[in-house]
Amino acid sequence: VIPEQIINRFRVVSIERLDKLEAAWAALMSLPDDPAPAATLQREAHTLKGDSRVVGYTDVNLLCHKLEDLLELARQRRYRVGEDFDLAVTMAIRFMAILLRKRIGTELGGIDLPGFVHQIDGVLAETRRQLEPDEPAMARTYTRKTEVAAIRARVAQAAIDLFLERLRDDRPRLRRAWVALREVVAPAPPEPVGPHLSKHEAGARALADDLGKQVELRFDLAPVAVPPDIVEALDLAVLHLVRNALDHGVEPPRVRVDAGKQPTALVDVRLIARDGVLELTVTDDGRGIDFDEVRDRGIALGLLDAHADVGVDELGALLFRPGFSTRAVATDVSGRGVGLDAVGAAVAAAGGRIAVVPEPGKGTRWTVTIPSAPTRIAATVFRAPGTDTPLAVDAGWAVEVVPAAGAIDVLDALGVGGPGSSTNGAGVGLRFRRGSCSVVLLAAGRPVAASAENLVTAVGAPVSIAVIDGVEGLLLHPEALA
Amino acid sequence: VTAAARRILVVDDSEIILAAVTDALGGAGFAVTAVGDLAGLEAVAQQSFDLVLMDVQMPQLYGDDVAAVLRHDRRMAGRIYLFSSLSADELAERARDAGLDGYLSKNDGLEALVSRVTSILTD
Repeated sequence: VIPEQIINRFRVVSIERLDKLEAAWAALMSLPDDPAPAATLQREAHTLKGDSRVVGYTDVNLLCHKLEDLLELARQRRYRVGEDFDLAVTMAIRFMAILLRKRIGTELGGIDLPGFVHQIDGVLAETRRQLEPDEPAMARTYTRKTEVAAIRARVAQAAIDLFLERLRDDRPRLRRAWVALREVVAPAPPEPVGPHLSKHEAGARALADDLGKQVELRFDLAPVAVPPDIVEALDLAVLHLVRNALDHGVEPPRVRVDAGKQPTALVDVRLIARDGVLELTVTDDGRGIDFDEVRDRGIALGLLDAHADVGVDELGALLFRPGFSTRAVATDVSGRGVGLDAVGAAVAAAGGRIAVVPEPGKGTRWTVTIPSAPTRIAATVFRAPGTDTPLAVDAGWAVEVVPAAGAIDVLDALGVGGPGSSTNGAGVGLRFRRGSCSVVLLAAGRPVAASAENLVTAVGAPVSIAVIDGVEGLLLHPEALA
Repeated sequence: VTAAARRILVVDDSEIILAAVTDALGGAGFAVTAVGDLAGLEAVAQQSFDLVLMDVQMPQLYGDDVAAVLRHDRRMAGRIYLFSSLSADELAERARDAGLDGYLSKNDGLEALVSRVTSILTD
């Protein structure tokens, strides 16, 4: 058994070491050829690895081994590494800091160390594989983005734990760690999507002219602002789906007239937002996708069993695979850059899906749906006895003031109540009710209406971190506190 | 011979390693001297030790180079082992190249260290 004094000293020294590691890594990311921070990284990681093993901090030791693997690979690449790699190193360092900071004998609920290590292994494997040319570059980029999204999700839970720990003991070091983690996990501010999509109108007209096709283009875009990854997915989708429609869907005027259609084709681009979902449709009245041809191509490529009964949805999914191309659709539209495979990957990375509705002879409708919950919500805000941190509940919950007896002290329920935080008899009870769920929470006074903006959310967590009237606080999920 | 008669010198730039190893080996009855840098090593170089545990990667010098000097120039009589978290292969090679008695891996933990040291010194 190691004396507590040595363990405590180890924790202090190691947190300082992590600060040096993080600073050295940041320096290398901006000046990759500077030998001084490279030496610091190698030395500090190595010492931390030895220390953590000897004092029995096996979880920190495991992360140290992974960090050394990452640093060695980065060194081989002369510290020219991608965003995902940078994030993996940064998160490994911060994870270790959280593990070192946690109170002895406590669990950090929600930190999934094996899962995070698995993610690091994924980043390592991906980086080692990077030069292999078997996957189109764009698809590869989005595969990595999906991995990064998974890392972010894991870290979100750690960030919430850290924020809660701060409520108990707001030391400067914890505050700095929270600020650092918040930067990693908080969503980027939303941007208006309209300008990104409507800019493709001019390019589409030029392409139609080049192809000798008569087209009426209609853009009808809801004025919404969404996070950058969703903007990027929609941007790519409009670019490639419109090009595809012009190149492969819309027939030349004479062919259209022969088929009994108007010589001028219609390509309609529409973006609507409803019920927390963005829906982009790109519709043309061209020749439509020949799904018999898609099926034949799928069989020829070994992607389909020749005897299987395959539906249109499954055939449609083939169109978004790398390298899949027919006369009706092309994954690389006439050599003009990347194609539907990149659209599929970008939409998936943003959490959405693409479907195609074919009407042979009449046209094609592509539908991209991406969930995009509004980040700003109406909320009921109150304070609990013993804390200045604002607490909020979605205004979708009905609220009434009731006697305090039996009310749940939120900080106690979250395991961060300090001594004396449950002051019996003080304050009021707030009964929150939605559907059949009813919960009474202890409040210092009456609630007010305000708006809250989600900052950090994690699946299954009883709280999110939100900015409530300009102040960081907790957005409570009452059903999880009952 | 009792453990208390056995003198062990630990050279490591990590104060945590020095504290933890001193505590563990001291608890097992050995007399442990811990030094963290070359100046500290010079100060105790005239004393005799039954076993030296030498870290490899230190800011001023490599431990295997220091150990080679102790062994071959200073004619240190006791056993000298490298003590590091480098891989076993690398440690074995460094210990062999420097003409030392062997290596102990930090990756095996403190309990393994105490039992290895005990067995080395009771051979």
